[in-house]
Amino acid sequence: MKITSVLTLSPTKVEAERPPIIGIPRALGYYEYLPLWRAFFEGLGCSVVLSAVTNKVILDQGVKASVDEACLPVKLYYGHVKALSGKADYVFVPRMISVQSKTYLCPKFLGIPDMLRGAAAFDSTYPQMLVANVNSRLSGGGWDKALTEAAEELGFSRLRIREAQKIAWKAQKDFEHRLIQGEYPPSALAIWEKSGRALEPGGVLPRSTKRRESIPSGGPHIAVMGHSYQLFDSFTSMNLLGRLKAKGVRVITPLAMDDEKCRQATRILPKRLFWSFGQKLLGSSLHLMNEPIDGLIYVAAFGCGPDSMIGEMVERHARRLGQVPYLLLTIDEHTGEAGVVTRIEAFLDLIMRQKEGHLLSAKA
Amino acid sequence: MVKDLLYLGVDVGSVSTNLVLIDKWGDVKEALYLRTQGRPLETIQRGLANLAERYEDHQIGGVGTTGSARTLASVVLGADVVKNEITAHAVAASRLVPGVRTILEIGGQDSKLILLKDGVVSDFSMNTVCAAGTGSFLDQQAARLQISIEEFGELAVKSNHAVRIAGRCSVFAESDMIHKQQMGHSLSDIVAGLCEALVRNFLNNLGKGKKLEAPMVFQGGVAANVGMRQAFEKALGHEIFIPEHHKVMGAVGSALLAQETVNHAGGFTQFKGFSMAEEQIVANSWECGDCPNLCEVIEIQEAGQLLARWGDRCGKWENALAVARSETVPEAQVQTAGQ
Repeated sequence: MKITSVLTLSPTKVEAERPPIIGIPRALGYYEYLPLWRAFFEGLGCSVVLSAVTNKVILDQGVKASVDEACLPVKLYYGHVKALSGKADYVFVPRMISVQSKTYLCPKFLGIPDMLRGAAAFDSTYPQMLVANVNSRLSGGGWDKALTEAAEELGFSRLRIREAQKIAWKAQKDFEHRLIQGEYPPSALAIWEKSGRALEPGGVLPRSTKRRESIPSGGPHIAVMGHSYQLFDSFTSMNLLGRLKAKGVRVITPLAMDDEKCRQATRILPKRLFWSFGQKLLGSSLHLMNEPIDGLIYVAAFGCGPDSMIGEMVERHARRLGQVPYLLLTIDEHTGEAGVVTRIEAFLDLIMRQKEGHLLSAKA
Repeated sequence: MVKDLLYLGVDVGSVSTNLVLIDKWGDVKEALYLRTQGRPLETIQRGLANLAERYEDHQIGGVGTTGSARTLASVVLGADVVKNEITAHAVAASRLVPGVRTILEIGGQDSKLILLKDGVVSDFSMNTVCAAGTGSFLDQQAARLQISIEEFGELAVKSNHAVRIAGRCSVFAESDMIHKQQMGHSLSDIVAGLCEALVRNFLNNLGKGKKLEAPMVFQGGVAANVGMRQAFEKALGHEIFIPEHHKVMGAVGSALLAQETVNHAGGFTQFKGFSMAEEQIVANSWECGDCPNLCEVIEIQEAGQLLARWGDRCGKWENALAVARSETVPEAQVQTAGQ
C-alpha cells in the first residue's frame, strides 16, 4: 500500500490509487465506538461502509458460520462481517482486549479476530480483515495505539494518523456527551451512521431536536439494562425499546450512566469487577435501583458468560432491596417473540397497576 | 337490562380454548373448556356457537381475550381488552381468593409463577423455551403408561414411597421412569415420583430466588391432578387452594378485565355478536419478500373482507390496514410515527 502524503487531506487528491474502503460491521462494539472508528477512517481519507441493519439473512449466515457455544451477538458479528464482503477492501475488526485500565472485555471479544480467521480458512467468501489490538492494560495501548496500528497497515503516515485521531476523539466525545445528557442512543448514533464528518466544517450535525421525541411525560420510567449491542439491535432485542416507547415508557439505558456513578454504586461489592461492560451494567443497575424508577428490565444474551453472573447479581440486589420490580429477559436465536411480548406486557401491567392502585381490588 | 349484563372472557391457549361468562358480581355463569387442536379460529367459533344457543348479543356487556392467540381472538370477537395471560390469571385469582400471595399455574405448554402483594402482581416468571413439566408432558406420560390423565393423580396419591425421577428434562425423565419400571417399582410410586419431579423442576426454574408466601393457589389444567397438588403441598409446606374454575382462570380474568375496561370507557362494548360463529373467517399467511427479513404476514378475512394483519416487523402491512382495533393497531402506528 502506498504511503499517502500528509498534505493530501482530500481523498480526491490521492493519485494513482484510491484510498481503501473500510467496512464496519454493525455489531458488538459498533454501538459504542462507531463515531470514533468512522471519524478516524474518514479523517484519513478512506471511505466507510456499514453492514446492513441486522436482518434474517445476516442472522442465519452468522449462526451457520460461528461456533455453537458463542452468544447470539457474537454469532451476529460473523454475519455482519460476511455481509460486508465485496463491499469493502477491509473490514475493521478490532480486538478489544481492554478499553479501560484494570479491566478486560469478555474472552469472546478477545478472540473474535481469531475465531473469524478460523472460519475464513474454510470459506473464501470472507472479506479481508483489518485487525487492531486495543489493550489499555499496556501503557499506551488503548484505542490510539490500535487505530495507529490499523492505519499504519494501510500505509498512512504518523502525522496524518494523529490528525485523524484528533477528529475521531472529538466525534466520540460529542457522542458520549449526548448519551450522558440523556439523548436516546439510537438517535445519537444515527448522526454517525450517515457520515463521519458531522463535526467538521460543513458537516451536518443535527442539533438535539429529536432528543425529546414524542414520549409522554407521565409514562413509567424504566431502566433497561443490557449490552448495547443487544439492546440497540432491534432485530435481536425483538424491538424491545420500540415496544416500550410505543407504550409511552421512558427508558434509561446504561449508556446514559457515567462511569463515576457506576463506580460509586459498585463500592458495596466485596471485589472489583474486571469486565468493563459488566462493571457498567452492574454499576448502572445498582445506582438506578436507588433512584425513583418504576422498573428494571435486564436483557441477557443466552450463552453470555458475564451476563449469567451479572444478571443474577442484579436480580439478587433488586430483590434484597425490594423497591423496584425486576424482569429478566434472556434472548437467543430460538427465543419466540410471543414469549417476550407477553413478559413485557405483563411487566408493564404490573407497574401500571401498582402505580394506579388498580380498579378491581377496590371493588372486591 | 343493564343489571343483567354478562361479560365474556376468552382464553385461547395452545392446548385448550376456554370461554367464560361472568355476571357483574364476577360469578361464573358459563365455563366452556374446549380442546384447541391446532385450530384456534374454528374452536373460538365452536365455543361461540355453543353460547349462542343460550344467550343473545344484547346480554354481553364486554369481551376480553387472553392466551397465546389473544390477538387472533380479539379480531374475531371484537374484544374490548386484549391482555396477557399473567395479568389475566392474577386478576382472576385475586378476585376469587382475596389476599392470595402466590399463584402456581400449569397449562398445556407453559407454566407460570405469579407473586402478589396487596392484590397487585409484584413478580412473575414463565417457563422458557423448554416445556418440560407442563401439561403436555403429563399427558404424554399418562398415555405411555396407558392410564388416563384423570386416573394419574389418583394413582399418585396412593403411593407410600415416591421414587426419585430426574425432572430437569422431559426426555431424561422418561428414560428415568422406564428404568424405574424395569427395576420393579410400583406404578403408583413412579407416578408420584414424576409429580414430585415436575414440582421440583417448576420450583427450581420459576421460583429460584423468590419467596413464596401463603395463601397459595394452584390453577391451570394440571391443577385437576391431585398428585400434583399433593406434591406441591409437600414441597412448599403449605395448604394449596384450588379454585373451582381452576381450568378457566385465564378466561375469568379476561372477563373481569373486560368489565373493568368497559365500565371505565363508558359502557360500550365492541363485541361483534354471536353471529361471528357463523361467519366465514379465513386466516391466510404469506412471506413478504420486500426485505431480507422475510416476515411471515398473517391476514384474517371475514367473508372476503380484510379484518386484520400482523406478523410484519416493519408494520408496513399492518399499517396498510386502517382497522380501529382496541390495542394492537394504534400502538403500531405510534411506533412508526415516533421513528
